[in-house]
Amino acid sequence: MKKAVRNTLKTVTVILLSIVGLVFLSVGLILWITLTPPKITKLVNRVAQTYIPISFNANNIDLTLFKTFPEIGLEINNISLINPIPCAESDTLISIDKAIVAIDIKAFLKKKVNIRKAAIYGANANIFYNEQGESNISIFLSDTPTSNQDNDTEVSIDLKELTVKDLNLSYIDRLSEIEVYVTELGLYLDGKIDSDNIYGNLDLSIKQIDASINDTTNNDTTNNNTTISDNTLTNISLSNISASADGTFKEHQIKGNITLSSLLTKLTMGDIEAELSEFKIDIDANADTELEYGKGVVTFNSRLIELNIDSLTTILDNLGATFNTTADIRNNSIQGTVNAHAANLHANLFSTESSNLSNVATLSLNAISLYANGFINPDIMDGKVQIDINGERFKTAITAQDMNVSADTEKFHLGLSGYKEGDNISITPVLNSPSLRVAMNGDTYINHWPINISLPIKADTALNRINLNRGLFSINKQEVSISGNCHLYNSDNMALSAKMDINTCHIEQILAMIPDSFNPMTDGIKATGILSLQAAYNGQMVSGKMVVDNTSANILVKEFTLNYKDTITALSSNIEANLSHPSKSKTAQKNHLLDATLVASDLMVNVVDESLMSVKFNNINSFAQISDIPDSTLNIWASTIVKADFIEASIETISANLNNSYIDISMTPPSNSNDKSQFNLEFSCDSIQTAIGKALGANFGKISAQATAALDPIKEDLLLKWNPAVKVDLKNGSLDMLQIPVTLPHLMFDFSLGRFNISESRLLIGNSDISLTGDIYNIDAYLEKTGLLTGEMDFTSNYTDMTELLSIINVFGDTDNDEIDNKPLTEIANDTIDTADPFIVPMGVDFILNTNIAVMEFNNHQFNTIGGEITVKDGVVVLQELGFSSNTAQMQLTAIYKTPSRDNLYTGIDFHLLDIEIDELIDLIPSVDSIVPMLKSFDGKAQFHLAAETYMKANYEPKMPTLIGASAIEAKDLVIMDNKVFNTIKKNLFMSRNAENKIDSLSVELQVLRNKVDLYPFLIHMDKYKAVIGGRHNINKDLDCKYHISLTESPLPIRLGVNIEGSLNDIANNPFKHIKLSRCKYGTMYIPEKTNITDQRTLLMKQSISETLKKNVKQ
Amino acid sequence: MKKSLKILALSLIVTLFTLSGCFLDDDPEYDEALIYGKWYCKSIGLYYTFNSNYNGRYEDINGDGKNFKWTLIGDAIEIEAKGDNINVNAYETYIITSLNVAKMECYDRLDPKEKLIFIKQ
Repeated sequence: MKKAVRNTLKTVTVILLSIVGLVFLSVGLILWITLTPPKITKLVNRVAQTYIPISFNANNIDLTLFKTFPEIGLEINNISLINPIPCAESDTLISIDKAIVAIDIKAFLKKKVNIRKAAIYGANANIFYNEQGESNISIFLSDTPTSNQDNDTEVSIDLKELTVKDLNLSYIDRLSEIEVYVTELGLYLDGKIDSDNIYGNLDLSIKQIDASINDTTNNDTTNNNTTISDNTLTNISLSNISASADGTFKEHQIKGNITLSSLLTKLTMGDIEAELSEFKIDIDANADTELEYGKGVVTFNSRLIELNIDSLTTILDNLGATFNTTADIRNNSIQGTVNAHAANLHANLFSTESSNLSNVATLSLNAISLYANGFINPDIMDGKVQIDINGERFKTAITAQDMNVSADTEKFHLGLSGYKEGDNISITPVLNSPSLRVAMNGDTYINHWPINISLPIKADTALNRINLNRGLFSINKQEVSISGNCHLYNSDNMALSAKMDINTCHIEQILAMIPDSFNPMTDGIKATGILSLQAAYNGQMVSGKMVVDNTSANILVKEFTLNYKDTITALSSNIEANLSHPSKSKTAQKNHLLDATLVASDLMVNVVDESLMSVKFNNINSFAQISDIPDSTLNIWASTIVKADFIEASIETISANLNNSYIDISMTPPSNSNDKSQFNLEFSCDSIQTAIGKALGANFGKISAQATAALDPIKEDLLLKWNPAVKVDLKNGSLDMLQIPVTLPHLMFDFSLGRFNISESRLLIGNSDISLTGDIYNIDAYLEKTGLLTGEMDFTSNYTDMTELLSIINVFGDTDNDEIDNKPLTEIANDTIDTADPFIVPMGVDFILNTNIAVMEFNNHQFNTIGGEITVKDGVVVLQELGFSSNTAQMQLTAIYKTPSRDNLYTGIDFHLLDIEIDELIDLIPSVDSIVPMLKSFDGKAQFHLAAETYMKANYEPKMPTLIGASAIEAKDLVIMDNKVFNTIKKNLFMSRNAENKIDSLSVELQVLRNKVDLYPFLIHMDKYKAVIGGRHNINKDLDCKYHISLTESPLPIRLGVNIEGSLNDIANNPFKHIKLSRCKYGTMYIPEKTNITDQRTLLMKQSISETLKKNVKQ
Repeated sequence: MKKSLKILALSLIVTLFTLSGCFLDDDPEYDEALIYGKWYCKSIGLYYTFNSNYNGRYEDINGDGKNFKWTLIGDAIEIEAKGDNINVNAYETYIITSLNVAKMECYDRLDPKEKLIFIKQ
């Protein structure tokens, strides 16, 4: 209570007592001096001037006996106390229409004034303080002893009855800015008050009390030395107040009963407005006079309480509360209970941002009951409390911007239990509801689910230490337990620790609890499983910032199933994940890392889209570490190790099984600005089985691979950007994709941009074994276009079955494209020139492939010691003098392929077969039979030379104007086979039946120029016949030809010739139709003395071609 | 008698034709300078260029073709083409039947029945 109010009350009390004293004094004077009213009046006024230091005036003072019988009374009319001070609205301090005072006559006769009754009717009191603090009652507040102390009359109060009617009181304090107006105060006191005992009844009624207090607070601002005043105006108004009290104070015991009620009470203080309608307070108290033991019951009832604070309005109706308290100070015990109930509580929060009021939040509680009990030891302030609030219905709604949140329950229980014991405090708030519903923007988030919350908190009295021990959150039977500790060292530093525990949580129920508004995220997701989670946190709060010392989480899911729109399914009987921070790694570089482990006994993931993809793991165990995430993801240190007993993966018909696989991936950030992020990969597995459908499969044995990469973000090329280095060691591979077995016993290579080294590679394909080893250098310089890609590799084979290998290639090259098959060749060529993708020999490459094949089998021919060099340099591939030998033949091959441009490809070949059987030659090169059809009629050894070159289009179609080629076949001692052609020739030339089919020598030269194949005339000497054969056939659709055979020597007197003309197929089918006699065209060609200039030129050309070809043979 | 005369006359005719064939075998001479330059033969579809230094080139409209060396021996133009990268050579011989500054008629020696006409470009 403010000092001014206390002073005021003190002043009022002093004034009242002074008035009563004056009355008694008047009575005494009357009795003592004279009993006539004028005299009494005069006497009282004179005496009053003595006792009252201000102007006092009373009219018509008279003695009365009847009104105060059996006491003698003094009736005083029109009492007025005048004390004018500046600024006061009235000079009158007190005016009383009538006052009656009854005194004990017996005591009076003994010169004692004992007031037994007092009554005041129609009084007005005006107490005023001006702004200087001067008051019209200050004279009564001075400590100056009054003159009655010098009087020998003893004044005492033995009051049995006190009546006040129609008292109006105003209190105005300009200094403190307080105004209080009391209207029509009535009071009746019936009892006894003496020095030893007090007992009686009090009835009080006030029509109206209005009070206003203007609280001014000055705030000094140090910056600009200005003073800002905050004014808070408080208005209190009570109407129709009534109070009654009865009690006793005797024999060291106090008993009392007080009832206070008001019809309407209003309070406004700044933004706060409060209104109580029809409130009533009953107090029933019983205590000893030492106030060491007390017992009381306070009952409060109010029909309606309205409280408005700024934009918050609260209405509480039909509130009833009973406070039952027992205090036993000697036993250090105060205990009490509170029972309260209210019909409804409504609270509304309005928005004040716009002129249109709108609800921001509403709260509604129905049928609220509160029960609280507790005790306290006042000596050490230890105690215990238990509060329970129950309600039938709880409803709240919050509107903020575009968000509407509402919550309601059917029943609810709020509990609070706690105790203080020494320095320890324990408090446990509890919330229970069998059905809670929370909705936001029309979507239900909690759908009438049971909720239980219990937070057992322990702390010390200074709140330096706070502990939450197994706080429980349970919603829809899904339970989360939380524990935590907080240790406050100082205002800026505290230690924190927390644990969260989920024992069994059903994932399907959690999914069912996800609101419909999250449908786009959860639509189509079906999952089941039992989730357990343990999480822990230890850290500090330093200057408002959270510092994590360590955290950990353990997540266990059993019987896990997942189905996403029937496209993704996952199954696992047991998955466990652990996360911990910081890492347990001791490496300084890895400080503040996160460790993560994932262990699953089994895990299967299926993805069904346009195709089926499935991955299955058995006993997967993975461990990952990651550093803090700094400014760039490239600066993260990260490491992952994955182990799996078995991995089975498949995409449609493609499948792969990995046994006992191990993967270690790590990423190291750059140590300085010039360094690069490093990536490392280590992979191994005992075996891999892969398959494509049922026909194709590949198995590999033990595989180990190490790879590193250094990321250079500036580089654009993928390889340069990552600068990878890969080391692979693969054993016991096999391919089950062909009709012939393919195995890869060992492959070992080491790849880096500086050097790609294949140290071991061995491939067994059917009967063939192939090995490729060697080095390729300067891949980085080649990619950066600063240097040549160089390299030298060795292709070695002990045995190569080329026929078998080519059959594999044919299998891959088979096509079922009927549309292409049915098209003319020219159309196919035109179609494919634009879309053709020819092999372009790269520029900037200097590469050598050394071949060394011990034995090669091709078309039932065996070739030995095939050795040569394949070079790739500046867009040109050269197969340089690849030499080899068969059983009976030596062979050499030189080939060139270069690609100046996509539309201008070049190929050239120089091929020699020395000392080869003719049938073997035809077997090896079947096209020879087309060029020299009669060759198959011979048996013997020959030399075969072939050289040709052409430029080609993008689809490898020769550009005919550039085609040039020549071939030579030389043979001796040939035997003509007994075949159809020989018989025809023999018949047409009338050869003898015994003619030997032997030819001493044969020298055939032919050339290809553009689309013409010219067979230079060659001599055949057989029996008594000599014949020269020559001609041409064209490279066109029909391969039509014009050959001529001149019979230059025969038993006949004339020289004859035979023309063979027509398409090659027609000649083969019906030779007689195309063979016609003609003049002898080459009659003198091989008779030197008769040879003409034309024949000489022809023979010179023939010789030139032969010699040119033979020059290419490497000796 | 009549019969003997007929046989004699026939023998004379045969002898005449035989002798005339001997005359036909003599090769006519052509002015080599008339051959210099660029010619186009439609039936072959190639342009032939005969330079005075006995080098030449045949090529199609796309420029695909080959360089060659040529010589004129009597009425025969001998052309020797060689490989660019492979050591190989091939010949073709055209027998001139008519030559002037604008036109050359000839035939391939291995295909005398097909007349070739070269037009000077």
